[in-house]
Amino acid sequence: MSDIMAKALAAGARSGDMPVIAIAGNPNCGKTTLFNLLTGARQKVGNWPGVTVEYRSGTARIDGRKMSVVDLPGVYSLLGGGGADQDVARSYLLHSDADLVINIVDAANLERHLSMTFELMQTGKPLVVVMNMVDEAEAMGLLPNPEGLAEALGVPVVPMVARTGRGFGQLVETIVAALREPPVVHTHVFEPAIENPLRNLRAHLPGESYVQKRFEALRLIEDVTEPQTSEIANAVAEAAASIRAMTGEAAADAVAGHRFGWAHDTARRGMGFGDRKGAGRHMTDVIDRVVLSDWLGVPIFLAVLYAVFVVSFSGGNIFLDLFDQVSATLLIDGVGHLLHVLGLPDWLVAVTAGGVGGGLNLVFTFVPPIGLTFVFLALLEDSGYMARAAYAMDRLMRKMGLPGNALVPMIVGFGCNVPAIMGSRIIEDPRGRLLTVLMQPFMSCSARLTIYMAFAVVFFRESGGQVVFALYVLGIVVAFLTALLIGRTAVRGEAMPFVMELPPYRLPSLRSVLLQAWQRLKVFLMRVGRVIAAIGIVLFILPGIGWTGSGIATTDIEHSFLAEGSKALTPLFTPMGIEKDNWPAVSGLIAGAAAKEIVIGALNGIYQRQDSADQMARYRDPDLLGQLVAALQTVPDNAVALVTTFGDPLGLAAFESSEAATEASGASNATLKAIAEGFTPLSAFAYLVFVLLYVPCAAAMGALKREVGWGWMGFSVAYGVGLGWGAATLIYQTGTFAAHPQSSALWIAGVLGAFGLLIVGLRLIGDRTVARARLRLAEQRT
Amino acid sequence: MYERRDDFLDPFSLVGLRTGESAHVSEVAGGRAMVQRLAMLGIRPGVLVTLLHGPGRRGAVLRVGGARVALGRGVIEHIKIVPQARSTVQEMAAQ
Repeated sequence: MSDIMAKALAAGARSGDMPVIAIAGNPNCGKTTLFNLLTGARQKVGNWPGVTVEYRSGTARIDGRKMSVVDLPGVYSLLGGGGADQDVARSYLLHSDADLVINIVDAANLERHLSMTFELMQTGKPLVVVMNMVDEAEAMGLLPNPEGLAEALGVPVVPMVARTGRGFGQLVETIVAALREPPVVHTHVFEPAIENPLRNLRAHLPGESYVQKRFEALRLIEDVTEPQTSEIANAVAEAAASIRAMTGEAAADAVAGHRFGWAHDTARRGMGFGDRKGAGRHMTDVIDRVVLSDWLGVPIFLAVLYAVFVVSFSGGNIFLDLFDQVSATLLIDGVGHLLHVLGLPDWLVAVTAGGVGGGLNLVFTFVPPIGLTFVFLALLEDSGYMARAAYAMDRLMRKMGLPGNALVPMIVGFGCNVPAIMGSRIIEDPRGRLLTVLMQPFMSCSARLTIYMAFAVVFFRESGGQVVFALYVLGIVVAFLTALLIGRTAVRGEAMPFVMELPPYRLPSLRSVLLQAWQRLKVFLMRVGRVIAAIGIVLFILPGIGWTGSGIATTDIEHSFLAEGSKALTPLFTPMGIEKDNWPAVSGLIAGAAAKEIVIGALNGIYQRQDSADQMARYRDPDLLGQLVAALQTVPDNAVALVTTFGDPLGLAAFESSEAATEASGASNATLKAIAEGFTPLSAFAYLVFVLLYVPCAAAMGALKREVGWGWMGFSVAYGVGLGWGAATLIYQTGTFAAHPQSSALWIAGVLGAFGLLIVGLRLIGDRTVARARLRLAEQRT
Repeated sequence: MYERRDDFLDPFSLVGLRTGESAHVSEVAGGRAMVQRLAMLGIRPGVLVTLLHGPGRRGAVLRVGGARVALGRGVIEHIKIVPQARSTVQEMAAQ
């Protein structure tokens, strides 16, 4: 990471003259719990600049003084081998001007955690060590000795149980004292056989300070980073040879061995051994025997995910109508009425209330299911199960070049692609994460279900359930094939060998789970809300205005920009069976690129020639109170309905009655009739396949951009549209082959040929990446 | 300092160990990144590990220090161990 970025990090954390405290430690040792304890809800979650590593900072009020607290990513070591998380943590510790570092260590596993304390001490930053989970260590029969550890380290040590808040008072006192008089941290001095060559090497290195150079020298000797110039490479070789000659060991082994030995000796001074054996550890082993077993591991995981999915979406549905109707009442009708009363012109009222308000209404509608998904994800992570799930699924997923935990976001994606894309962060390996993110847009989200329903009602009455199910399966298959295709061409490589710590099972703390879910939901609302509000305006304007003889003016939908644009685009969709007169179907697709929820709405609007006059009537004389009361009444009704949907979360049973299915799709009868006239069953199926595969929605595109950058987002969109078009064309042309064999054969050959070209293109990209990596390696060697 | 226990018996692969048994690691083979990653989690030559689960089709779960570490099948084949006498269990308890 560049120094510029490191400075950005440092600047980002400091505001005014608030002292900055950084929390560092291994994953799963209560780092975030401690962070929550210090900052409460006063937190900011974002990204570290330029990388998709979560950045958390917050404000703590300690002893009447405000302080800025930064939660560094949890890493096992600062030296190397830990990816972007580690780069961020190391860069921050070496380059920022944090006033104090709190190193949190697990009392039950002191030796390994102290190995990172050793590394932290090499940064020279004032340090306080929190010995966390002393209760678990005691239960295991260990006798934590914080005084002994403090003496061995030369810095304050606070024994704590962060989950219950035990020891927090002492921590506060220690922080106050440490800020007043920073504890002096002595960088460790090795035996001369190592220290002298290190010093010689340091002289050859760039860097601003002693500690930065020394840290880099350690990394070079331990062989976790590549020398930047040939001069440095020679100096490293010289130092390594010297250490080898003096110690009789390979330099990397000698230095690492020294560090581990130090951790071992220091741990002995910080921990006594009792004679009792605890039960907590035993419980975890009993659960693991079942959860990780060869035969039950996969079924248990699938059952857990099914439960999460059903509870999030069926449970969320209880409140979905409430959120929908309350936000519609307040944001659309309420705002519209307010603006109308204020005397603003009708068009401004319509655009603000209908466009922005309508867009935000869409976002709020999905708060209950998405919020619940985030809660369950946090529960799975905090309980310790997520790591087991990754292990249980690893073998199966590895065959497709994916890490074991890639399945979690996919299941979430059935509800909504946005949290699925954001949730792909649970995957450490950047390659696996990229592939997983690119798979998500193909999962049939709940918004797509409304479109499936409307068409299934019309064309696939008896077999509606099967058609919808087939679309779900098709989405899964395409997602896996996408991972295989891209993983074998553009981003070649193997899934990282599976190595993961399994934290002991713990009862998750409600506070921490809710905080985590809330932070993620906030990101969803802020980022996605902004996009949808903007797109809402565009979508609201497009069907309402058009090009008339005298210029741009409001017009009916038939002559609007949306209609004209759709008519112009319709020929592109003719190969998949959309005839010229069926241009509203294309309008639906354009609207669907913004949000799948509005496809049926757009069709309703077009087919019913709904004009904005009756909207204005709503703003003039709204019945806000009545609407709010009606919204509240949906909760008990939906709660009753939930009981019946547990075995059928998609609501496929609705196909038993035509009214229920129509209602589930949200389409009006006029729309259904128009759909029946515009499509054949075959073209309807092709259309649905296109709806499944092409861009998910604006919100998902925003999430893609955030997680994998503009380039891969652009690829994902183009790939989805192309694949959707190709698949739909293939289906339609194969189905109508007998009618026009020649043109069908040409279309089919064209689609297959284009797909072949895509594979070749992706391979070339992959070749270039590999070649560039080789070149870089060769340059470093010379 | 830890002691290296590679002075007696032939090293075996971790695959040969049975659930509940303990052994000292004698060698961690594989790529540099792999070796470093395992070392970060405490799995390195000389360290005592206990097999908590497996080895099965998926791999194995080891106890090392106070932590449990799950390793895929491809990883455990690269870890060589020195088999322990049955007295190891008492040694563990004493630690």
